[in-house]
Amino acid sequence: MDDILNTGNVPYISEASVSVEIETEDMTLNIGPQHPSTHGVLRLVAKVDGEKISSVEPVLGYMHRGYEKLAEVRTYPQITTLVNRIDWVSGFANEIPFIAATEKLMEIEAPERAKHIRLILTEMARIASHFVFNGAYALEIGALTPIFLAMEDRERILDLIESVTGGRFHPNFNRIGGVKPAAGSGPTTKKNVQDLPAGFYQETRDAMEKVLEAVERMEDLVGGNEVFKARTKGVGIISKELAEEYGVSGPILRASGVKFDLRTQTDFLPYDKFEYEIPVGENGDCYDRWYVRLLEMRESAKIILQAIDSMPSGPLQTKVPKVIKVPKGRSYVRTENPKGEMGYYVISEGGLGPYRLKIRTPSFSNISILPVLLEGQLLPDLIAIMGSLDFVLGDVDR
Amino acid sequence: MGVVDKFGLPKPISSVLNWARSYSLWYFQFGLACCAIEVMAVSGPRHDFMRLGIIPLPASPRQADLMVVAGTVTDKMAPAVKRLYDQMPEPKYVISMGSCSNSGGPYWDSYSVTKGVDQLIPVDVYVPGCPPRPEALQEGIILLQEKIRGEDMKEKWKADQNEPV
Amino acid sequence: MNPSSNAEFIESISTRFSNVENEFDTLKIKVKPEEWVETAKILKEEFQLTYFSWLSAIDWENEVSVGDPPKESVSPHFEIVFCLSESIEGNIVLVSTEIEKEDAMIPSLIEVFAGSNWHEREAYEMFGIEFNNHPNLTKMYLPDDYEGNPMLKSFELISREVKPWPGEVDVEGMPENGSKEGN
Repeated sequence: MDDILNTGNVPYISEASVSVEIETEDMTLNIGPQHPSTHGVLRLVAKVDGEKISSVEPVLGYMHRGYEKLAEVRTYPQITTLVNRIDWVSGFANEIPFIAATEKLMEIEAPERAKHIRLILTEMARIASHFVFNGAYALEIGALTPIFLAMEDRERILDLIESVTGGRFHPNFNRIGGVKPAAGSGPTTKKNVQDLPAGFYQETRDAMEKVLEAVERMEDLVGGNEVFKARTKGVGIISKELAEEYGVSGPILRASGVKFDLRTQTDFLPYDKFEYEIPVGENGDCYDRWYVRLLEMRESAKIILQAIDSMPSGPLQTKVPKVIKVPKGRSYVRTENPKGEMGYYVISEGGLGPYRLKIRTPSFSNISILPVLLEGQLLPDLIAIMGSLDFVLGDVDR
Repeated sequence: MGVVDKFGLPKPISSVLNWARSYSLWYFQFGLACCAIEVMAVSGPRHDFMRLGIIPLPASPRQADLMVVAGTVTDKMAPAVKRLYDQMPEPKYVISMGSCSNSGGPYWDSYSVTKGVDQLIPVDVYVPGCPPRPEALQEGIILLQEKIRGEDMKEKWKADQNEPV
Repeated sequence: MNPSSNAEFIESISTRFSNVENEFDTLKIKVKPEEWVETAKILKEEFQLTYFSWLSAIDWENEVSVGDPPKESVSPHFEIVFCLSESIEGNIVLVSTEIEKEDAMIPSLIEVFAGSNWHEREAYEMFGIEFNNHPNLTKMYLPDDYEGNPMLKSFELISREVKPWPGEVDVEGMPENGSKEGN
């Protein structure tokens, strides 16, 4: 009996038992497009040899909505409404690069106060997005509790976003040249119409304390779980070179040991005023990807706390023409979305809308690595690896 | 069901059955786009649709009574939506959640989006919004329950609607 | 952004390539289609731009079926752009080339950057550009029986033909009032 249980020399029992050579045929397994763990409607066609995956072919397009074409028939202010919905768990963060690219072309700059509000809301969107990841990933690994905790914590962040913007996760709050006067019940004077809602600072401080607590709790509850560790440590390792060649960005790239964060490069949001760390992983496995995102939530909460302490006063919008026409030119602006590098390449011909808008979305590049990554892995690890990439189908298909 | 077809159900039995059905809807998770996140919020602890008698996560559409189409239906997805709907056993209900599945929403002029899920399958309740707030979906569920309670079993159980797929 | 290293980088790129534009801190190198793959190789090996960001195309056309045409008349052609970057300083470069619309064809970048695979498939589907030596140039997003290349300027959006853009009138008349047609 001891001999059977002692499998120390053999990594997987399944491998030991197929060592007898039998002619086998690959089986095709279709996963999705409607599957609870594909974060939407991704379809994977996997060829499996027993428990081993011999090849995977992702089939995209079940959520292709044609953003780039629609952008050509919309005006600039109308496009903000659309781009909100690309990465639907962090709507606000999607608006920023588009607005920044347009502002660059028009050569205007938002006032400092508007920039601070943008930064705070971007970081809140990041926290909300990572909460969804944390809950959903634990669920995919097999733990039911964390999703309920994470959803409740996320509601707190959404309440704050709602109190400022009026929308839960598609705020459509940015305007070219500033932000919309807030929806809350702040002081209403002629010069400063409806600013941040009353009590916003204190509520944010309380909520951020709760976020820090939640991160601690999640670290104990999920990260301390032996089953979770066994399912994620050493699984789905992405090397630095592979990640860069496929354009993988964001927390996944950082988990592979690349200390690169576009927040340090942005000149249109005042990140340089605040102190924060960039968490970096060592091994590039699923566990690191989960852990890097967890630590990022903590850093984002710190940034928000600093930002509300140093909130400048002043107007929310610069002067812009009533009908927004963007001069001829091109600009490419990219920011650190919760999922990775999000960029907009705006080509203007001087009209009311862009001549061409190329949207570079992080998840599209992030999951293009899947066929390489999943080859030779075990089938039960497929969900663990896929979940750790934290993609959103709207972000993949556009 | 021959007897029911001929004479209908006595009213007390019918209303007891309808009452029971309306509070035990097995809900088939059909998350497509943004609205799916709001569905997650509704099933989360704050809004908690289980208190309305919605039971989430059946193992397959063959066990479900209610389908909430939450999100954009694209032309590529449409056959899958139809097929999964066909797999659900009668009596079955559909809630169309959000502008996209109601009418195409912000993608009304897109080349790849189906302009409304009602072109594919019959819809019982439309919930407007982009995305609808969790409260709005709950309202939609309550409206559907009212509809179920007012139903005539004879109509619902007509043999010709009961073709197996 | 580190200004000194950025200026150094712009300088070195400008000396290495002849046709470089700098628009809003983003360098754009214009190359001939023959130099397409070679340029990618040079940038990857000599300038350590190992991070493949994206690839896409632009359809330059005077007659458009939706949207606004270009203000000044252009000679119809496809412009293909790819974007490389590196992950230490965040230097970024766009490389662009122009090809004919008839039998649009360009060598694939897969041998240099494997990550260009999906981006090229997308451009193939949306614009109908052939990428030579691409192992799997098939449809990406649209159903298999879909005809046409949606991102072409000549592609019509049929919904807009049936019902004009409602944003053109400020307030639509309510149907029951019958005061104004809802268009």
